[in-house]
Amino acid sequence: MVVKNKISHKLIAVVSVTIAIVGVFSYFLIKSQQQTYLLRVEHNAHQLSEMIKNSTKYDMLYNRREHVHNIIDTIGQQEGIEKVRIFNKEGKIIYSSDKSVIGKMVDKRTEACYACHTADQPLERLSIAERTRIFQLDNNVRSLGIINPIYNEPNCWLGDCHAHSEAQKVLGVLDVTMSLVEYDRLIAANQTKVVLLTLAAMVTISFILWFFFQTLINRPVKDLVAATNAVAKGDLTFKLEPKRNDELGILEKSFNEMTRKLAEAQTQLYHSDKLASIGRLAAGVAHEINNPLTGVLTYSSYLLKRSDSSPDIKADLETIVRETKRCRDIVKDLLDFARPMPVQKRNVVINQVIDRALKIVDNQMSCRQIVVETDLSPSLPSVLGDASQLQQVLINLLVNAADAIGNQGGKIYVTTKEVKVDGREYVQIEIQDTGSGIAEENLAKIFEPFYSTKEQKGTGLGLAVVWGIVDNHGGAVTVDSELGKGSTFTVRLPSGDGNPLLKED
Amino acid sequence: MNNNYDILVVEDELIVLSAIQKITEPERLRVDTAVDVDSAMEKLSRNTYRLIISDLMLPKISGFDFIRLIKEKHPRIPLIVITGYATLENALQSFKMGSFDFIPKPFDTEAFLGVVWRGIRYSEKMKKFGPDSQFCIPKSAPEGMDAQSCDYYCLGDHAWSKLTANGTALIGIGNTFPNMIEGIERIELNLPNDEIVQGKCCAQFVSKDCFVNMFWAPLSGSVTARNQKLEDNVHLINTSGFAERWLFRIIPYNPDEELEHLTCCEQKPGHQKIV
Repeated sequence: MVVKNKISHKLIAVVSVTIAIVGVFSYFLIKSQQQTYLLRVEHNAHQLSEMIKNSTKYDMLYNRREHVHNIIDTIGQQEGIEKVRIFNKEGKIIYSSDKSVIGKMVDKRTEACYACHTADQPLERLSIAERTRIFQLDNNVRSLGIINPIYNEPNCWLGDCHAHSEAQKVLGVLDVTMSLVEYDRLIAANQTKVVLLTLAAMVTISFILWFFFQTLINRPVKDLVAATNAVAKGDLTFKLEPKRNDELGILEKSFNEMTRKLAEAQTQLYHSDKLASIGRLAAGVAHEINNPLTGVLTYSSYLLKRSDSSPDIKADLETIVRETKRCRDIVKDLLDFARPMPVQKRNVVINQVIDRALKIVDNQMSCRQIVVETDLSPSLPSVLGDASQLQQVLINLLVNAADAIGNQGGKIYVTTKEVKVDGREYVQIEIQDTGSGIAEENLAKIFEPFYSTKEQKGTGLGLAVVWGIVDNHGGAVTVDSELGKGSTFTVRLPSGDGNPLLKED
Repeated sequence: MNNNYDILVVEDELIVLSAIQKITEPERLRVDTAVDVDSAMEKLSRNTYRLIISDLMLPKISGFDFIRLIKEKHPRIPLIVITGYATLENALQSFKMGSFDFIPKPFDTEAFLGVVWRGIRYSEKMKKFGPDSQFCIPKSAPEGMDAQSCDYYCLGDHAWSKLTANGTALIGIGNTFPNMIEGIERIELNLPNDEIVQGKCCAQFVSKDCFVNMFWAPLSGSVTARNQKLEDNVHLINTSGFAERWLFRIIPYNPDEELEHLTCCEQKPGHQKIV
């Protein structure tokens, strides 16, 4: 069977989505790590910038420019620090770790200034984030710049140098630029690690899922599909071997149970159907055959009456009349058998029915030296059924058992008991004989109409009648047999309302 | 042209018609035949007959509809049903609808002639007494059928059963037997396993001509007693009253269900006179 939407395909889709989600998470993880790092770098830069500001403050107040230059030079040579500059309010670089730019003007629209000067009027207070900027120079190395405004304070305008007036709020800006080489390297290494780990996780998850899917789902499902197909094709003997204890194991067991019940139902249906067809056939045959039989019987009887003078002819005609009557009896039996018997259901005490049936066959049993032993459960619930039909069942089974025993004597055991099958309560009747038994290959056929081992003796309808009546009562009849040892017929009838006191008479 | 016949046989199977003619020929019975209901009705309106014999499966119309038609148009002519499809239901239904008797195909000459002669004699009685010759007068309200409200449950006028207080039932002979069998000689019981089955032959009355009259059981049950007096002297059926003509006492198997197939009848005052 071609499956368009295989479970494995769906699983692959699910796994893909999972992997995509893991990927997205990893991406955000990397992003978040980068941000944390950056915050730390920014913080470091800010600390450094504050340190420079504070350590130069004193020298600034005393206007010791050489000291300031020294400090900035020293710090500017530190690893990772690209440059340290201080420029005044007009943008003129006063101090710088790069001597060549001292005295030059800074373009206010360049990267270092745009934070305050986006509006034409510069802002006076900025957060750290607003004061930092990341930019890339031509050598592909990213840098982080942080500006730190130097605010006016009383010492500045009260100082001896009188370099600044009181009206100025910001005196200048300290700009520190740090290299992000180390940071970028760390981030790149980390990113590679995360990506590799994610990929490894994805591959591992996929493999584990695939493996478990194969062993836990795919294989048992394949087995189930194969089994279902086999059953659908009519092989009701197909059986799975449940090895697991999970839901699929239960499903496999249920499947076996279903197949078994299906087989049973099919057998029942087959027999019922057969009986019904025989019924229709019998009705038709009876009507059609009885008319010509009337002719044969009448004319042969007529001739017989006038054949007194010739004994030979008389004997032949007697044979014709006798055999025609036998034909009539067979057709009559057939009609009786096939007639849909309306089941007149009432509470029947099976033990009483058995007693009555035993009385009826008593004579036959004693003639053949057959001993009948009974073990009837006294607490048996009643059965909802037709007493006379059930009696027929028992008589047929007893006669059948007696015929299997023959004339050399033997025993028949009749037992009744209450059994529970599939949660339903049944009355079970067992008729066991010490007769010839039935060959394995014939067991399936014995309930078929016209199957007889009794050669000329029977019409082969006895057990078919048993089967039909028991089936009509919602029960089942089964047989176990061993050649030479005997057979056991088991009749199971659903118990009635459970009131053993109700009698059928 | 108006003719007098003894029997009209309505049957679409020609072999059966010719067989019946063969059987009746030595008896000097005048037999007319019809192969369908239309010609039968036409013949019935033209000629006189003492007895009708009809198949239950006729072309166009069911045998039961034909019985109904005859009961309506010619109530005084007894009708014997013959059928190759002799199921219990068909037999019971034929009686319930008022047929005189029922005989399954293929029939023995003796059984056939037995029932035919009985039918012809019964026809004379019908002519004389009309419906009074029947014992079984269906009760007006058959819905309220139960053991108390009914004297007798009848299989036509052929057999009766009467439930008794101790749970047994008596099985007796109806009005289609007494004085209807010429030269009645003996009764042969057919009681396999000491039981009788509704709608099946449980006794045969044999005349000195060896004609056989089959008696169909009105109920099923196991036989607990037999009417020894009647068995010893079968002529008693001609002289006994209705209630004395019992054959068996039985323990019925399924009275509730089986009584529904029978007709509930009440004892008619003065019926003894015409026994």
